[in-house]
Amino acid sequence: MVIQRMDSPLDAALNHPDCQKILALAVGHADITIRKYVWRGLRPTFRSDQEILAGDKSAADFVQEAVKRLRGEQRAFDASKTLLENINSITDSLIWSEKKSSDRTGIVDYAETKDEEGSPSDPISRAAGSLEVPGEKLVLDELREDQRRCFRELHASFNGDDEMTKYLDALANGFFKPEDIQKLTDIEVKRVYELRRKLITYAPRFFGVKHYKKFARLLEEGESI
Amino acid sequence: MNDDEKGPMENVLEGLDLHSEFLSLEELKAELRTRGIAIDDFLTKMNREIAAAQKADRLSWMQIADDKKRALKSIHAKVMTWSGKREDEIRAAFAAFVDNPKHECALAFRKKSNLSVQDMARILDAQEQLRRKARTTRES
Repeated sequence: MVIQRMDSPLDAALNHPDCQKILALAVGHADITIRKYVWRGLRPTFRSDQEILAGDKSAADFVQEAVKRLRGEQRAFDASKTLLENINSITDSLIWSEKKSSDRTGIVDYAETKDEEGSPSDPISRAAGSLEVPGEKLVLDELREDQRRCFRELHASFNGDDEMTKYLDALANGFFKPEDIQKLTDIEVKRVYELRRKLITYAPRFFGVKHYKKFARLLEEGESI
Repeated sequence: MNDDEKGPMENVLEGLDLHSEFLSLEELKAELRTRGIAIDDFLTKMNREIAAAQKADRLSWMQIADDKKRALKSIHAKVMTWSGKREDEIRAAFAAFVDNPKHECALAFRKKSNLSVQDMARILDAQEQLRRKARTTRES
């Protein structure tokens, strides 16, 4: 008698012919998540000149860790969700932790002061309330203004391509569903797919590989963009 | 990340991420390469790791099955067999078995006057195996 072991839902998903694409999409998602955090003050580093890192990990490292956690059952596989959703949920959480850790690293470098009695005093532990620190708010405001400026430049670079600029406007305003974009811009859903495909050629403009490096360096040096 | 405060670049990046699903695997790989990611190396590495982990799982499951098989064999080996015993011992044990009111199944053999000693030994062995199996089931 041949006894066959039933695959777990995770193994079935990992053995699915689409698994390669799912893993590639997961890496793309993790990479974009890191890049989005750059607009929230994350100071990225780069590996091999171009691959963006959060801490010392790349998007691929985060996905590898997510799959490892699912297989090791440190994170439960939710069978009601797709493999991609399961992996993305873990990488989002790992990258967020890395961002928080990076934030904490940024504030320990304070200037030591002395109180009235001449004892060393830590300005962080003495800070009252949990409101956004004025300096932090200022940085975030600057980053938001940088985003708007960067988007204007990006938009201008497609000047003359009416469909592409409409597509970008829709995305910038948070319209993601192709059906919604069609209603908003009269661009057919099929054409939306083609526009996205066309953007592969212009990926460096969007993902700003060179720009982010400069951006990180300037942040390190405390200069304005 | 607070959705209300998302800026245009964050939204554009999010939209491009969501719309990546429209790309074929080859198109997706081409874009990831442009973003500095060695995607082919990564996929090869992941394939290897997943296959190795699944193989290890299968082997560990087979190990459990082998252990259980060995345990069952050793239990079976411990079972006493009547065929090696003397004829008078077998006849006495069989008579006791048939006369025991606890053994309801023994009623079926009471009118079988032409049973050979070997048949009696086999019936006693089967009864012994049944008794052990029932006890093992109760214990587990």
